Amino acid sequence: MTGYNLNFWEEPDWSREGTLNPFFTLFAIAAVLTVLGLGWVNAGQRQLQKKVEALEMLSMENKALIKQAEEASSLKIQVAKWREAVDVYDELALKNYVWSSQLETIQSLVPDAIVIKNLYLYTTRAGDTMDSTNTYPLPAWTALLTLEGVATGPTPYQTINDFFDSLQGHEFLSRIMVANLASTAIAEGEDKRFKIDLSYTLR
Amino acid sequence: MTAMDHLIIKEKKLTPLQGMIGGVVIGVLAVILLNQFVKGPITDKIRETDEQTTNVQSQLTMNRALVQQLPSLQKERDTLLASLKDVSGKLVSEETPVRWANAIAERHAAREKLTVRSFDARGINQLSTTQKTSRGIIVIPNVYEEFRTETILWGTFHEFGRFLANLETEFPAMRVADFSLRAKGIEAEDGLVISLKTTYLRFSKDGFPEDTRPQAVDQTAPLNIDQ
Repeated sequence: MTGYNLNFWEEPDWSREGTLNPFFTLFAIAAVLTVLGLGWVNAGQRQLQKKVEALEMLSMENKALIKQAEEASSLKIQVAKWREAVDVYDELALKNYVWSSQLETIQSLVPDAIVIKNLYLYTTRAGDTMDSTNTYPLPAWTALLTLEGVATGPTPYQTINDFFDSLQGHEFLSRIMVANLASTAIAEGEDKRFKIDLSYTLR
Repeated sequence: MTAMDHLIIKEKKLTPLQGMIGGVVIGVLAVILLNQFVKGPITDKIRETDEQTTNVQSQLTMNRALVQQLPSLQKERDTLLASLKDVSGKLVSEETPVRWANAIAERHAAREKLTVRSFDARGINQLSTTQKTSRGIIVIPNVYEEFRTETILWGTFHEFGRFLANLETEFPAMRVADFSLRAKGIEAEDGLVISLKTTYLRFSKDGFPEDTRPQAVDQTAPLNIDQ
């Protein structure tokens, strides 16, 4: 297949087109690279020296502060624990259940026709509580206060029921405990014995 | 012939060997240069120094902040020390807890004309809280532990009520664990056998990191009724 060659120019001989001596070019490139390399090494050394000096300054300053910083650090831990000790004590004291006032309240509700014979309190650990009023988790307890007594008079059943109702309906007691009248008369013709359980959740 | 003429030649051809040697020399120089830039010993040292500087800088920032806090921390420690002195005055004696608790019970019983039949130390309650974490359940010891006691008393309901009220006022964090009041005769007013279990607080050994456990005020001073 034949065609027209539209290329008016011959292929250039690039080795002949250059005007610079290739040895010079080679030497010049090598020299530039060497100078660049040496320049970089020199600049790098200077930069390194500067950085090392800055590091030494910082290290010296840091070394001078280390003792005080360690003291502050251990003091911080100590202060945090001591604050916890004070706060936990205050919270335990604040939320502690005052049984003497509880007994006083109950005693004020006991009618003349009732004699409390036995009174028991049992508390049981019920995990921890953490509410909005606590800074730290505090141990929680449940309590069971049992009243055993006898009712005398012409209407002992009524007396017992009235006493039970007064415990349940008491403004303060009813907010913190659940009352349960476990048993009433044991035997007909005798004084009517009863047992009342008061359950509390403390904290 | 000028100096430029030396640089310009008519036949500008390198032999293949010359070209190869020249190329290799330039290539090696270029590689050395590039290597210096990217991972040469100086670059490495600079990088290492930068890392050290960053570390020291962050340590220094932290230390400066801590040192700045030192005066306020010392002030707070002094304030807390005074509060802890009050608290530790209401804790069970470190040295002689049994004697201390016994003396307290006897002092208050005598004040209310109750008779102490017996007194017993019932050991220590370790208080702790549990926390669920990704690593499992962690038990965190409380800063306090409980010293348990049991006192058997003889007296009336009212005497016991006052006895308990006095104890609760003097030791607000003392916990009444259990009690039982049993009538001996037909009427409760004849007298009751009272068993009272209480727990007094003391600083826990495990609740404080090393060297931060406060020294309790040891209450082994004479505990008289008049006190």
